[in-house]
Amino acid sequence: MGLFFSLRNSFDHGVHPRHHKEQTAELPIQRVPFVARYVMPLGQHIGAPAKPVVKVGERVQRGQLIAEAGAFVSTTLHSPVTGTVRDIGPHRYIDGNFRPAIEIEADPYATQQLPPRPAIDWQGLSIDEFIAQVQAAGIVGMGGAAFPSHVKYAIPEGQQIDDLLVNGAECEPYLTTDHRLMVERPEAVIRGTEIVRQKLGAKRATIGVEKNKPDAIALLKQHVGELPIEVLGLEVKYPQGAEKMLIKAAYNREVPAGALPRDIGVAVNNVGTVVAIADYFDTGMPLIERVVTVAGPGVAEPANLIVPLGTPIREVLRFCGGLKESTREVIMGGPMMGTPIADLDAPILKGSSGILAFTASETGRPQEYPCIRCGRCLEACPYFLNPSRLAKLGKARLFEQMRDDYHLMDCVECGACTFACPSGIPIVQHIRTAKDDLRQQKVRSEKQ
Amino acid sequence: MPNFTEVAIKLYSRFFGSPELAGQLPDGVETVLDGNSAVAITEAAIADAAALSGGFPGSSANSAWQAERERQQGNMFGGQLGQLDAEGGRGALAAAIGLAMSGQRATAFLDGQQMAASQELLVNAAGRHLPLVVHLTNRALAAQGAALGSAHQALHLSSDSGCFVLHAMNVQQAVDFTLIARRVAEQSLIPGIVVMDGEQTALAAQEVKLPSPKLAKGYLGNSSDPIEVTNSAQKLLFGEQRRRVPKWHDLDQPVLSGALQGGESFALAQAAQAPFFAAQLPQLLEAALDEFARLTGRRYDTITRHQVEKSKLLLVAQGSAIETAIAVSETLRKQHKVKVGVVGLHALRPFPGEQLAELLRGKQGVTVLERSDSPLAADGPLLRELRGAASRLNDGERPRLQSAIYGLGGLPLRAVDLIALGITLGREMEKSTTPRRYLGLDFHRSDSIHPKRQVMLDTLRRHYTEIAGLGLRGKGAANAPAEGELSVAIHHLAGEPGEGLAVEAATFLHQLLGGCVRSRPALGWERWGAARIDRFSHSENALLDQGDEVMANIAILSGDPHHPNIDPVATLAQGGSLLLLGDELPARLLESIKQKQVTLYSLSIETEQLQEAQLGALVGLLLEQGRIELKPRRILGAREESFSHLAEAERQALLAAFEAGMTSVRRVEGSSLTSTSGSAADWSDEAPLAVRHLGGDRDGYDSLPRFWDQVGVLYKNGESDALTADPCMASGAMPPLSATFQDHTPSRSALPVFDADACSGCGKCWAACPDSAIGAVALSPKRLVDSGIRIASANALSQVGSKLAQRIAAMARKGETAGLATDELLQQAYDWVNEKAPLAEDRRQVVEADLARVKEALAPLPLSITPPLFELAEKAQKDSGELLSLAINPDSCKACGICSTLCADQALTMAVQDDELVAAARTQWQLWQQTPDTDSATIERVARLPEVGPMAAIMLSRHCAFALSGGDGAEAGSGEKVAVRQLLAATEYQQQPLLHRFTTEIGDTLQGVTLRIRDTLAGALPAEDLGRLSDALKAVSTRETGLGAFLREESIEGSGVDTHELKQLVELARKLDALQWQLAEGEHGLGRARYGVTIAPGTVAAWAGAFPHNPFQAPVVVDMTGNAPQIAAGLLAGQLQEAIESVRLLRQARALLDPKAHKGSKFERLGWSDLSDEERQLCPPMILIGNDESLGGEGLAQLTWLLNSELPVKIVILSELDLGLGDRHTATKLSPRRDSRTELGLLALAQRNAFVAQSSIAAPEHLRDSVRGALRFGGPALIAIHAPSPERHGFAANETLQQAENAILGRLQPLFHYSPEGEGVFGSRLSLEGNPALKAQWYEQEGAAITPAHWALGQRRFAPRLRPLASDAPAPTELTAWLALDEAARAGKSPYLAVIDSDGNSRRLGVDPALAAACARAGHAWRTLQELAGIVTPFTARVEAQAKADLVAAHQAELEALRAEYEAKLRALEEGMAARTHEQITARLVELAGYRG
Repeated sequence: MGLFFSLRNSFDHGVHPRHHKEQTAELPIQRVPFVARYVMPLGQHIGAPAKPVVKVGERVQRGQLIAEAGAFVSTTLHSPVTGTVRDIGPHRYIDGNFRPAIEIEADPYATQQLPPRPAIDWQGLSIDEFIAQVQAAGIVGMGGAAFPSHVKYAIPEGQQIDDLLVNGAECEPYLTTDHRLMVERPEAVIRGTEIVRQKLGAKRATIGVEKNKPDAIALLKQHVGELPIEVLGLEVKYPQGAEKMLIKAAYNREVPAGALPRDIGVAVNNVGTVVAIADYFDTGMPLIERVVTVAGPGVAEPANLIVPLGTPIREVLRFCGGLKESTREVIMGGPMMGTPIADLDAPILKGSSGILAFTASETGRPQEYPCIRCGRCLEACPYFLNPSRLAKLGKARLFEQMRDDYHLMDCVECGACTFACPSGIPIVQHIRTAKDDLRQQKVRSEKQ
Repeated sequence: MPNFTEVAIKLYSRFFGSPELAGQLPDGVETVLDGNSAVAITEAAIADAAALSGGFPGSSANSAWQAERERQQGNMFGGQLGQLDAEGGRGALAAAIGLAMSGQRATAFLDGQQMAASQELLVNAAGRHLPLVVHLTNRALAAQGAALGSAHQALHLSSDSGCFVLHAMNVQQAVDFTLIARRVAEQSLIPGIVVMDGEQTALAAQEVKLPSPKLAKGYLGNSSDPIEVTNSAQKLLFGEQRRRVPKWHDLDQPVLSGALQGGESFALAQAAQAPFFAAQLPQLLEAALDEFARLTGRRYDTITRHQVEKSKLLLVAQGSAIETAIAVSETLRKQHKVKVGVVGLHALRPFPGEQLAELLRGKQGVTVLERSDSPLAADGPLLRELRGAASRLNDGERPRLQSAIYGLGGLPLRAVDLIALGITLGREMEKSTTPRRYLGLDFHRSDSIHPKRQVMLDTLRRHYTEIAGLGLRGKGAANAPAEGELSVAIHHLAGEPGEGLAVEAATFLHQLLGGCVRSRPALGWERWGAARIDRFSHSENALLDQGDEVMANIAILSGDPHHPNIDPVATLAQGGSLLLLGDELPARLLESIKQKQVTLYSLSIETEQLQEAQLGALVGLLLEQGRIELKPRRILGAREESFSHLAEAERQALLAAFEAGMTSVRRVEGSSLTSTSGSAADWSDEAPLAVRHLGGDRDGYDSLPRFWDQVGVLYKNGESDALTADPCMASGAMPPLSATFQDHTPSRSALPVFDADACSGCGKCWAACPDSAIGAVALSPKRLVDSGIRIASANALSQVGSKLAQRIAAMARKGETAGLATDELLQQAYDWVNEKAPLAEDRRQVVEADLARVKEALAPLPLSITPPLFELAEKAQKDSGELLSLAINPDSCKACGICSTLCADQALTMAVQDDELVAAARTQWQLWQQTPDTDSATIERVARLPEVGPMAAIMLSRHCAFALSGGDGAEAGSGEKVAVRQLLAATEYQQQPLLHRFTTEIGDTLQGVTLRIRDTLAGALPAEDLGRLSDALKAVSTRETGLGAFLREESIEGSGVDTHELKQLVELARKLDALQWQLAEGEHGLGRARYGVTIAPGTVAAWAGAFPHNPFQAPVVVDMTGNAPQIAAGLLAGQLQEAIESVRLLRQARALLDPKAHKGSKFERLGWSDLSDEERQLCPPMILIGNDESLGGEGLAQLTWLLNSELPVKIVILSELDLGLGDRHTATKLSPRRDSRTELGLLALAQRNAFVAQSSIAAPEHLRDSVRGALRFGGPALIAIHAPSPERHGFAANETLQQAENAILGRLQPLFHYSPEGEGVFGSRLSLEGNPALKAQWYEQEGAAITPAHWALGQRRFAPRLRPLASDAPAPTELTAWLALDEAARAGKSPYLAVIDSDGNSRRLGVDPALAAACARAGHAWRTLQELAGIVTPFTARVEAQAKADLVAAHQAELEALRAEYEAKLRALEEGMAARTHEQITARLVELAGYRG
């Protein structure tokens, strides 16, 4: 089994949703025009929100620091545009709620050119300085969760990273941002990988790419040269891009439940993240924009876009010819794990890998039938959990039991179970509700 | 445009101008010459006559021909050299045809554009069997724009004319082909075209061996010699023998040639050409080539082959690209292991198809290097020919064929690009690839540091996926110099020292060491401030042209090292040497110097002959490096030899400079140099003000913000090579005011400094500044304070604003402001106000806080209390005085010094600029721009003051002062710029009020229409019918409702409203509204332009239209085809259509509003002739700007036609006043001669129907009046203005206005205007007002008459014509006295000019006969004007006496008549009275007698 496994470079379980990437896979990354208004929410990820360092009415340069990290598990924000700070206060977030944010009005006539900065000599930096630089650059995991990258690089005493695994799997359907980055900027991917590898002291780096992107694999291999970087083709399967699945697929090593990859000497970074790191150390550009796939049947002109952070989603969609009449739902992120967007005026965030618009035929919720115990969800779950059980308990609001007895917190919400369920049970919804509830309970208890 | 003529002539005189050589023939001389000159000299040796025309780049050929003709008068065969001056290329070719028909060995030198325009003349020459040889210098045709560089369109066009075509790859070949073509043409009776590439051959100095008389005589023979006929056809025509150049037009053999043929005879004649004439050409050509090889040892073939047999891949090239292709093929073989053979094509006609097919047989891939793009054709022209040739091969033997397009319009052909092509070809050998590629340019770049540019790039990439592969650009350093090759790059600024150094150095090295020379001059339109790189390579061995942008061993930095676009290190190969002037080096270069291990040399020297010293330093450097192994004494001797044609003093000065340079150059370490940072190096992403000002939402071709984001930023940062092909580039259009992007600071070393207290407000400086670099505004104290409040947003201060203003005015009246800066002034005024009326404490604090902000904001603003703006105004009315604020724009100033020269108050002085000064000027300028515009009432008032005058007053208005912006590449102190600026300002001032009135009228009418609409709708509401209204209200359930509930279709109809009329009204209102917006605002906020501009080819076009700097606000069309008047007429038609449509709309609306009052008002199908005079005034005129060469020469017929049209086209002639001598400021007196065109004003006057004025920038009031008159006159107008040019005419840049003034005083440019609508007769419509001493022949200054020669004295271009009078000159006569003599009496006398030189000695300068004649002509023209205006006539006295007598007689007669009449009346009255008395008495008596009626 072991030999066979390592040959096919994959993990057990998982599902095979249609990948729908043909819509945008061939479209070159395209920069969107600057718009009038940008909103930078202070909290864009788990961890402490950033603290503004600018005042209302202040003129800011593109790339200028506008909010500093609020804690270690927190990162900085930079202005995506040259303009004037118009407001610091509650603004609509993608979930429709108000959250604190900095609103910047762009100067329509500014060149938006970044002030030239010399390249940073990363080789001369200590690991602590490196971590400080990454935090100062506001770089987060670009895969979706937007977890501050520098936190990942802070390896506790006594641990050693042997392998850097760069995630180019991009297993979510529709999304092609990582694919395009690998095709269009292979040198940046390699360079960023090498920077992180050296700084973490890893012996080797592996870039895992699903085999449905042969062009990316070929190009990356061309650019590796003499560096200790391996480009690894992976089986096409969902959720190949989940950290632990990827480690399993690449190295055939398991990360124990509750443990982190670094506990087994592995660090995992997204392709977008290493590119952001390469850009920052080359040109001094902090994380102020990202590549976003705009796709789905509801979009008139699908595209892969470079979008300044904070751009209202509405503007991005307008650039893509707007939404079709038949659009029912717009999702940020991939269709499996993404979040529905409640307000199109909400901004593009550091973790926004995609804006997908779906029409009735994709979003029409199937009629929910009782569980028939077919076990397909168990087969699908890459974490070997028992989704059907979790769903049942979730329905009954037995959240503690889910946590304590059924490893609720190990679930990465990949949605494979829901996808597999023939009865149309929204399993992952139940799980999310449970997780949210438990988190809030924890916060409440901590406050008391 | 660069003046290559000068360089060529200098070279020429070096070798042939020396007195010893005069009268001798250049006997196989080996020298260094540019292709144009070399070919012209060769032609002058063998031909009988040439037909010459101007134009770039052919002008240097013309000059060389003239020089040669002047030097030796005849050709090698002892014949007299003839010359015909022609208008344009067509004219030259036609003249050459005439010459050839009459048996002369004739030639003409044409450039690409001229050749393209002469196609059917070529066909004609071929059809007439003329043994003509025409020289074509390739130049790109004007397409979306114009370029100075080569392209092969005209070559390919001409190839089907029936002439044979030989294309030279270097200067030597051009010379040799000249002989070969002549021989072949005369044997075959088929005309030949000898072709050279422009900047690579025609303008590039290379070593060349000129033909010896022996060769010419042996190979060619005289044109009149009898020769054997070459085939039976000729035998039938001529018998066994014929004249070498047959006389088809011969008084002794009278035939009619050029018969008008019927279809059949024409076809037969045409078909007969091929077998009887053309068929023998290939053999004749082969034989001629063989014979040439036999005589000279130089073997040419119609095809050059390089490594063809050994390669599977071939490059096919023609012209100068052949050498580069061969050089690259070697590099590819040695360094990249790719085998690419080269096929060089020398004869395009006859096309060697068969030979080519053999070469192509079995090859894998053949790439044709094309210097021509034909986007709609399947293949490029050369590839098409090649496909034809390849079709002879069998299927399996045919190679894959494709095009690589290179060098369009002067795009560099870099070896790296060719190498990249070779590598790609090698890699793709098996695959079929793109049918055509563009070498050396990018269609797309995947990333740009300018994100807004990236947006466009990405959009193109997405929609045109194929374009990324279209361009092929080699990466990395261009190729290194070849083994043993010395490659030098000279960096300098256009118009500054260093311009001729490359050629000078190449020539000298050749003289010293022999060997080969290849050079590449930099081409560019702009004459000022543009960074240029001239290159040359020298090798003692054979040298192939390595292409453009070869890496240099030595770079010479001649310009300001801080200029942001000068980077000499970038052009250096690893380990090269850099020669600096002085010991300063920009810090930015240090790093790259270290990286490239550059050796530094420095030359610190004070000399007038800087270029000579630099050449000396270069030689010194080469000596030090051991590249020259000669004794210094030998070098100095050689240098002295090359000055043999110069006068002793000049020779010594140059030699001293050379020696000083050679000995004082020293090697320095980077660390020992002063490292400085340039003043403009600071990074800024601030957009130019015009970008914000013109804003706009649309991002189209006309959007300035778009242009800034996509193009401007690249030029600003010196990254113009990052431009890629995009649709906006394809349009060739530049948005308005893009010239403001340019910052001249780095190209300038001084800046005017303003002393506000010294200024008297005369306005001369800001009216005369050529570069719109001086801003002036009149501000009342109140507006000053208000704008301070606005700028600092300090609203709290406004509560004491009026009091502050009053106090400032009071202080100014008392003269208490002197010496105060603006912030101090404000503080003192506030202190006084606060003392008189103290504010409450809390308010005081707020006010004072705001005062501090206003003070800070306004502190840099200079304020002057001046008599015209303040004191005179105060005298008229208290508190109406205004302060003057004047600021210098450091972006556009070129430091010409005109302002400080004109300033009698010493308020403006030139200061050496440093960072601080520039920064202060910039702050001041930015602040000044935020001040409000001058009040129009002030302008009106000041315009009437003699102290100021109307032009300066007009320029107080920002609209007028910046009608032409600065930032262009015109020379410093350009008279043309002053003229165009003043002209546009006056036009703007004249037209704007009209536009305002029109806009107001439209506004009023619009209001009327909307009122009518409202009335109509109100009428439709059932307000009177309460029942209906109530019913309608019942149907409404909501609290609010639209009127629609009441106003339904039936209700309108019901109430008798005419819906048709309503629709019409609404439609009209919408149109009027749109029109009003368009007129007043428009997309750019500039309103509709008040005029259109067409610019004819010439020097104005070169600075006003140079991409990417557009200094205009109005629409401008630059013409490069020479048909500007007709283009202007076409443009005007469209422009009028737009205006007439506006008038029509207004008329229609008025008629609708008030049908009675406007009964019969026509508004359908309105034409120009239907408009009233008033309406015509509203139509924006077309201003056509040209010089006397472009509009007076070829364009004259069109000009005359325009002047007789009814169209409102205002023609502006900017005259060089070359007196018909064609003189330019050159090193020698040899230069092209032109016809006298200085009297275009008189010519226009003769048309009688147009408004004509001759005016001057030195008479601004006259100019303003002329412009006003021209615009008020509804029809065509012509204004001739003298535009002095410091560079071309040779005087200091600050003397421009003085030169213009001198031209008036010297009667060269008499002022006049003529209005056809004036009162009375022709003479009374012509006014000569404004000229000094109106009735005199010459104006006298200090007792001496001022003649044109006095004016000429101030200009170096005329220096050769004013030499110290020879002691043996016969009958010296003072010029004025000489001029007073009649023609016969002048003969044998030497006119001279008495002058006082700088040492106070009086001297006599002999006036050259041509100049003296020109003076006489000018005097005569003035006399004619005086006569026409009736001021002076030969009969004046007689007429006056007669008139007086007549008047007295008439007066007398009138008196007599009056008296007689009076007496008669008196008599009648007396008689009447008597009768009445008699009657009354009778009646009374009767009454008394008791009789009642």
